[in-house]
Amino acid sequence: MAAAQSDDGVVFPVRTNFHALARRPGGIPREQAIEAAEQHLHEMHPEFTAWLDQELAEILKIIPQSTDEVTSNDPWIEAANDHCRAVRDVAATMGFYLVTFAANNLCEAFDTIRSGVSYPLEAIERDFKALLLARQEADSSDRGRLHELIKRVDGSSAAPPPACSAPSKDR
Amino acid sequence: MSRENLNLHGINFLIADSNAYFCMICQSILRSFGATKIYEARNAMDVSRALVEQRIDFLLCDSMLPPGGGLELTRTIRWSVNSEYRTIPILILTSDTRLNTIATARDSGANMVVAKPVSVSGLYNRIAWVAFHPRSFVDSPTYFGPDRRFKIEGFPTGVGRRKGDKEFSIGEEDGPALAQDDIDSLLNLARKA
Repeated sequence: MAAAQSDDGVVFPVRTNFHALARRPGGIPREQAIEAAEQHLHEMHPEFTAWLDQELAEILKIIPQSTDEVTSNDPWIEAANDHCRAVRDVAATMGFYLVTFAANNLCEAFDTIRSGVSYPLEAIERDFKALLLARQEADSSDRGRLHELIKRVDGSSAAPPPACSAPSKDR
Repeated sequence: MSRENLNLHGINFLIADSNAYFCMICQSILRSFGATKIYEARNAMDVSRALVEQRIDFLLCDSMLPPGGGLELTRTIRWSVNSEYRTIPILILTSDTRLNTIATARDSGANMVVAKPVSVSGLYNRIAWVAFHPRSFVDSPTYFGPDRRFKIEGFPTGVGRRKGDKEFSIGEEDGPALAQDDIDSLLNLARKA
């Protein structure tokens, strides 16, 4: 097919090395490729939860405890948002949709702050706590660590929310 | 509808994303699809270096790649007149699925946009779409990239985007359905009416 000239410019066909190689005979059948990838991701769950804990701990370190209102000038917002985005972008791929949902709420709060809206720190803490609760889905056996993180968010030794006070047996 | 297998063996992929964990997951998915050569970049400078040092065939790029974003990088690649990578397939990965962001990605010259978090089947379908439905390129004073005017002829590899989507199928062509005389008589009837 030759290049065609029109008022919109020149239109020409493109066949790259990728096109030539990807269309070779052979390869892995679609269903098999997808199943293998999903199986591989499933095997990565323990590694994922360890990474998730690291990210949550980082966010917790970054969120200040001594302010009422958060404004866009606060330098920690961008750093916390980076970690939160990383969690949001990965968790659902690993099958943890609730973690992505909770992380997305927190990202939206950070984005709102960055757009210049003053925001109560208490609301950020609530969203973060929701993220910690969602993390239960990722590894229901690690409730002790979750409890510890929630206590640190509370800034006191208050009892954890009922949802995470005792391991549920139905998981 | 095509049901061809993708053969990714030996294709050089470059994943450009500042999130190292995302890169690792993406790499793991691509390897399960049969890819054997995968490189990573954390920022636009790494991408430039990889493009010089390796022979990259396919670029997966985050829309927020530092410092200027993946869309700016895509635009730069497309407008590098003497670059061998000017027509390289570029898949933009983005968490921002607002319409204007998607439109900006399209206008920067991306072949496809994939929403984050990516699903395994979604990523496969998009790569298959780029492989089996290559689009012509447009070179105009204001745009260089895949033709943005393309028909939807069903979804990639015959799979609907949602569970409820009906299967897309067209019967094999079997010569004209009507003889010319039949067509003429129908048109004459219509004219008389």
